[in-house]
Amino acid sequence: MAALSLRSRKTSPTTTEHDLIAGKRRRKIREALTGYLFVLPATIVTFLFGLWPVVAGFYESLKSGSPITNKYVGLANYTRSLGSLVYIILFALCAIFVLLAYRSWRSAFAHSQQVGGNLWPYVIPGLLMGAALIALSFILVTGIEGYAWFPLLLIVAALGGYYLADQLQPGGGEGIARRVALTWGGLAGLALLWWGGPAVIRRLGLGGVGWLALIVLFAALLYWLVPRLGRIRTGSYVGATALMGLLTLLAILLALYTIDQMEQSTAQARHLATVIFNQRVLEGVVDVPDDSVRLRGLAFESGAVMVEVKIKGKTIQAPLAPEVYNELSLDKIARLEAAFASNQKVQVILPDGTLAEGQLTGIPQGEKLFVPFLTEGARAVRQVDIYSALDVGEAVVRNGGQTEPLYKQVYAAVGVLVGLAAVLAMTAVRRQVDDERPRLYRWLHWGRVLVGICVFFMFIYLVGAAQLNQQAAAGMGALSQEQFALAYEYATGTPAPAILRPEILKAQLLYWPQVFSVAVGAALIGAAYLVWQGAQRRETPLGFGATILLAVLLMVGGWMLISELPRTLELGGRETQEAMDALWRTAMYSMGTVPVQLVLGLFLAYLLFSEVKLGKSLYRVIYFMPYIAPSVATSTVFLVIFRMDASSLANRALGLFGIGPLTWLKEPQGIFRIFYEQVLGGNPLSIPDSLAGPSLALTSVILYNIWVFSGYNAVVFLAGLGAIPRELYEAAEVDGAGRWSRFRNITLPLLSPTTFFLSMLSVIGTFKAFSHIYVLRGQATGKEVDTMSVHIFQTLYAANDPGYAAALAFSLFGVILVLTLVQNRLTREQVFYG
Amino acid sequence: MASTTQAGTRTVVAVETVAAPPFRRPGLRLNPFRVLVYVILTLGAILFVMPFLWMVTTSLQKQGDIVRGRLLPSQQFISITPIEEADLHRTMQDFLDSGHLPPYLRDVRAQIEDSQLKRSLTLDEYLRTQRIGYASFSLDIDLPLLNRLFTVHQHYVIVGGAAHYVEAWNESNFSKYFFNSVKVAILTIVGQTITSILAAYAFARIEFPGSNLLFSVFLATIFIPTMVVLIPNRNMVNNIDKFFSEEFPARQDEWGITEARRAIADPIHDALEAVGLDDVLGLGSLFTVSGPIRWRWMDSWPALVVPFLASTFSIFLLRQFFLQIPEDLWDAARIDGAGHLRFLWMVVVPISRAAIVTTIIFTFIGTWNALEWPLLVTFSDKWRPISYGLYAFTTEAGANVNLLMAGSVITLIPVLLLYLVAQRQFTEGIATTGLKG
Repeated sequence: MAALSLRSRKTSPTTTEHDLIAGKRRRKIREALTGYLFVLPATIVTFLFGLWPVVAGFYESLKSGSPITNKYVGLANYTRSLGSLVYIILFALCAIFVLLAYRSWRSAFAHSQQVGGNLWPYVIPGLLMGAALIALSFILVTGIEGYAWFPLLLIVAALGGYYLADQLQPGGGEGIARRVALTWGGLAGLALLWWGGPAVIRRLGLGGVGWLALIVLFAALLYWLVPRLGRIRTGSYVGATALMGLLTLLAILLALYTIDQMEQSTAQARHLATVIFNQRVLEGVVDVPDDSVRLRGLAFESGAVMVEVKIKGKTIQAPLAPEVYNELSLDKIARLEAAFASNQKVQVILPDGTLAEGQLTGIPQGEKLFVPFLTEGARAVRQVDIYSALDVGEAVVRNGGQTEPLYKQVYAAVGVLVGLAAVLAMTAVRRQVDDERPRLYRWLHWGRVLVGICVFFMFIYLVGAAQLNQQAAAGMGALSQEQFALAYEYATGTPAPAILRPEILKAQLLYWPQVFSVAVGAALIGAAYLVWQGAQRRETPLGFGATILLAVLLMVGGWMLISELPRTLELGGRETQEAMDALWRTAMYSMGTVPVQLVLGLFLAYLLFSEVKLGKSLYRVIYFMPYIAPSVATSTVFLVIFRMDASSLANRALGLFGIGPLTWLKEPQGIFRIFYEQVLGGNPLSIPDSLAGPSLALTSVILYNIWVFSGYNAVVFLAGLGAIPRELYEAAEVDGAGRWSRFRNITLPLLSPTTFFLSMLSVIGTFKAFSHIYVLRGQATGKEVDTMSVHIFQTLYAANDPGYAAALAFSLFGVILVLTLVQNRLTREQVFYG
Repeated sequence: MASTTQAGTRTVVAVETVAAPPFRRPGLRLNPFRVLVYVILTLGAILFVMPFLWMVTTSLQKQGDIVRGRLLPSQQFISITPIEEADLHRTMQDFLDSGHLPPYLRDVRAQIEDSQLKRSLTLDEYLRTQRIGYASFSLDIDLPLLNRLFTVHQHYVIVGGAAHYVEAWNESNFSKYFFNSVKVAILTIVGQTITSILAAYAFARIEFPGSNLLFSVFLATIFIPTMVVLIPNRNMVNNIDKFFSEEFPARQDEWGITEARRAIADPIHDALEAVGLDDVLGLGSLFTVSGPIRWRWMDSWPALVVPFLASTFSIFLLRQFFLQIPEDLWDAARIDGAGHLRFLWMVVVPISRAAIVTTIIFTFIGTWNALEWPLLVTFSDKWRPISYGLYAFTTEAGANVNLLMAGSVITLIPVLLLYLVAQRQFTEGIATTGLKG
C-alpha cells in the first residue's frame, strides 16, 4: 500500500487529485469486497462439494477404499479396469505435458527474442516455482503435517530468483517480477500467519489481545493483497516459465510414478515367471545315467498323449500335458505322433537337465524335439507332469522365464530418445558448419554414425526385452490353473493363493510389451506424418513416390503396433470385461438416443413454429411434460409398461402387429436379431454378434429417454427458431425458394448453435444418466442396461468397493472430457454463430 | 388441474393474437398441409401424454382389469363408508347372519355365501385379500402443542379406485417420504435461491478481480460426472460427524466457542424450549452448552440439503437474466443512494421473477428426483425422500401394479402442479435465459 500510494503521489502532484484517485481506489476495493462477499456462500459450497471432491476422489481412487484396510494401493484400481491402457494413457499424458511446457516456453522465448530480452534467467525460478506448487498441492491433498515450510521455502527461493532475473534483463525487465514478488510475498505472509501465528501467541501467552492482533493483522494483509491478486497477468515471462516448470516437473514425476507403479505391478509376475519356468529347481533331485533312459513309444489313452520312459529298468508312463492336448493343438499331436510312429530320434531333457534320445524318424531334417519334464524327481513322472516345453514353448524354458528389469529398459528407452535427439542436433549443426570447418564436419558425421549405432543396439535390446516378456507371458497363459498351482507349490513350497491366476500374471507380464509397441507405433505414425510432409519438398517424381511409399509403410507399421491395444483389454480378466461392457453399453445408449431425439425435437419444433398458430403453447406444455416430470415416477411407469407378461402395454401394442410377447427390460438379445426372428421369421443366430445391435433391454431404456428428451429438445429448438430473423425467410420466399430449400439453407445453418449446444448436452447427459436407468433395471441380476454410471454406483453401493468405484468414475470422467473436446473440435467449423 | 391448463393456454393465445402483425389474419386457414401438421402434432401429443394417462387409469383399476388388459377402470372411483372398528374384526358369517352385509359387498353376496373360506374371514381380511380397492382410513386430530385438547378417532372404509391412493399413502409409508421430500425441498430451495441470486448478481453486476476465472471454474463443474463426486462427498458427510464429536469439542474452548454458546445459544435454547421447539430439525444440541455438540449429517437433513446449497446451473441461468437488466436502472438506483444489496432486493429480484421461478422449479425437480445420493446417505425412513420410497416400492409392490402407479401419481403430482401453475414464467425463463449465446 505504502509503495503504491508513493508512486501515485509522484504522478499526481496536487492533493485533490490524489484524494480523488485514492477515493476511487477505495471505492473499487469496497466494490470488490462486496463481490467476494456475494459469491462467498456459493463458492464455499461449490468448492467443498463440487471441486474438492474431484481431488479427494482421485486420491480415493489410489486407495483400496475398503473400510477396514483403507491403504494406498497406487494404480491398482485403474489396472483392474483398464489393464496396461492405464500406463499408455499416463505416458501419453506425460508427452502432452511436455508438449504444453515446450509451447509455453516457445511463445515466451519468441516474445523475448522480439523485444531483445533474455528468458534464460527465468527458467530456474520457474522450475522452483513449479516444484513449490506441486509440493504444496501434495501436502494439501495428503494432509501430511509439518512440511509446510518446504514449499514456502521454495516459493521464497523462486521469488528471489525471479527478482534477480528481472534485474538481469537488459532493459531493466518488465517490472512484473517486482509486483509478482510482492504479491507472492504477501501470500506467503498470510500462510505464515495462518500456520505460525497461533503457535506464537500460545508460546508467548498473549491471550485474547494476541488473537485480536492476529486477526487484525490477517485482515489487513488480506485487504492489501486482494486487489493485487487480480493484477497478476499470465503470458509474462514469469507466468510462462512457472507454467513450463510446473508442467515439466509434473511430466517427470508422473513418468517416474508410472514406471514405479508398472515395476511394482509386474514385479510379482516377473518373479513368478522366473521361479516357475526356471529349470534349476530340478537340479540334483534325480540322478539318472545317460544310457539307462530310453524312450519307448507313444500311446493314446482316452485322448491324452502318453509317453513311456524307461528309467533304470523301470517303465514309467507319463502323460504329456493332457489338458492341452485334449483341447486344440492337434498339429502338435500329429507331429509328435508321426515322429514316434516312424521311430525317429527324439531328445528328451530329463529332470536333471541331461539329454535322453529315442529313435524316431520322419521329422524334418535338423529339427529337434525337446520334451523336457518339470517334475519332482522320477517318482513324480509317474504321477503327473506339471507342464512340458511343448505347452509353454521351448524359448521360455530355455530362458528360464527370465525377463529384463523395467528400469534397465527405461534407461534404454531414454537412451534411445536422447540418442535420436543427439543425431538430429548433430545433423542440424553439420548442415550449418558445412564448408567452414571440414574437420568438425567429419567428426560430426562419425559421431552421428556412432550414436546411431548405439541407438540401434539399445532399440534391439528393448525389442528383445519386450520379446522376453511376451514369451514369458505366452508361457504363463498356456498354463492351466491346476498346472500353475502345482508349479507354484513345487517352486515355492507353499500352496498358491487362490487369487493368483495365470491369466492375471500373463496380463501383467504383457504390460510392458504393449506399452512399448504402442509407443513405437505412435512414434512411427508421427514419423510417417513428418515424412509425408517432407514429400512435398521432393523434386523428382521418383523421390516423391518413394517418400510417399515410405510414409505409407511407416503408417501401416505404426497402425499394426497400435492395434495391439484392444487385445490388452481382452486380457484384463472379468473386471476389465465388465467395465468395457458397461462403457460399450453407454456408447450404444448414447448413439441410440441422441440423434433420434435431436431429429424428433427439431421436427416437432419446426412444425410447431412454422405452421401452428392456435394452441402452440398447449402443445409446448404437453411436449415439455415428460422432461419436467420426476424421472423416478415416469420410469416406474415405463417399468410397468415394459413388463414381461403378455398383458403389459408394450406387449399388447406389439400384439396388434402379431408379434409375440417379448421380455423387454430383461431381454439380453440384440434388437436386430429379435426383429429377424419375430418379423421376418428367420433363425436369430444367423445374424452375427457384431450386427445384433443393442439389446432389447437397452432399447427400452433408449425409448424412454427419447420420450423424455425429444420434447425438451423441441422447446429449446423452438426458442432457437424464434431468434432467426423473419426477413431472411421473406427474402428467400421472394426469390422463389421452396419449403425444403428454406429449411436447408436458412433454418439449419442459423440453428446450428442450438443444435451444437443440445447435442453436447445430450451426449454428456447420456454418459451421466443414472436414476431412470437404475429404476428401469430393477433389482435383477442381469446387466443388460447397466451403463457406466450404474456400474460405478453398483460397485460403490452393492459391492462396497469405493476405491475401485472412484477409479471407474475417473475413467468415465476421462471419456467424457475426451468426447467433449472431440465434439468441440469436430463441430467448430460446422457451427455458424450469427 | 385441467382447468388450470386451459386457463393458462387461453391467456397465452390471447397474448399471441395481439402480438401478431395486423396484416396477417389470425386464426386458421385450412389448407391440407396445415391439417396434416395438426394431425401429426396431435398424434405426437397423444403419444407424449399417453404414459401419464395410462398411469392414472392403471392406478384406478382392479388387479383383474390389469391382467385382462382393460384400458379404463371398471370399478367406481370412490365410496366412503364410516365404520366402527369392532366391525372390522367380525367375520363375514356374522354379517350374513345378522343380515347387514355392508352395502359395498352386496354385489358379491352370492360368492361369499358359496365359499366356506370367505365366510370365515373377518371383514378386514376379506377386503384385503379380495383386493377390491380398500383402505381403512382413520381420522385423528390431535394438537401436540396444546397438550391434546381433543381427539377424533373414526374408521372409514374406502372402496373403489381412489382407495389405492389411500393405501399407498398410508401403508406403504408414502406420507412419510412425501413430507420428508417436501421439507428437504423447501430447505434446499430457500438456501440455493439465496446463494444463487447473490452469486449471479455478483457475476453479472459487480466488478471484482478474478470474477471471470471464478465463473469459469463454476461452469467447469457442469462437466464433472456425479459419480466422481459421489464417493468423496459421502466420506465428507460421514466425517463431519467425527469433526463435530471429536475435534470440535476438543478445541472449542481454545476457539472461544464455549463462551459464545454460553452467552448466545443458551438463552435461545431456553426460549425455544419454552415454546416446545427445542429440537427443530435436530439442531437441539447446537443451542446448548451441556456436553459436546452432536450434529449428525448422515441419515439426516444436512446430508440431503447442504451439498445442494449452490447450483451452477441456477447461477448461470440467473446471471444470463441479470445481464439483460439495463444499466440505467443501476445508475438510477445509485443516484438514489442505494447499495448493491438494496438494488438487488428492490429492483433486480422483482424484475427477474420468471428466471427465479425457473430455477426454483428446476431445484425442486432436482431435489424431488434425487436418487443416488439419498440411497448413499440415508439408512432409515426418518429422512428418506419420496424418490427412494418409490424406488423401493418398485420391488416391494410385486404384482400390485395399481398401488405402484398410485405411488407414481403421488410422486408426480406436486411437480406437475408446480409446473402447470408456473409454466408461463417457466417457458419464458427458459426461452429468454437458457440459450442466448
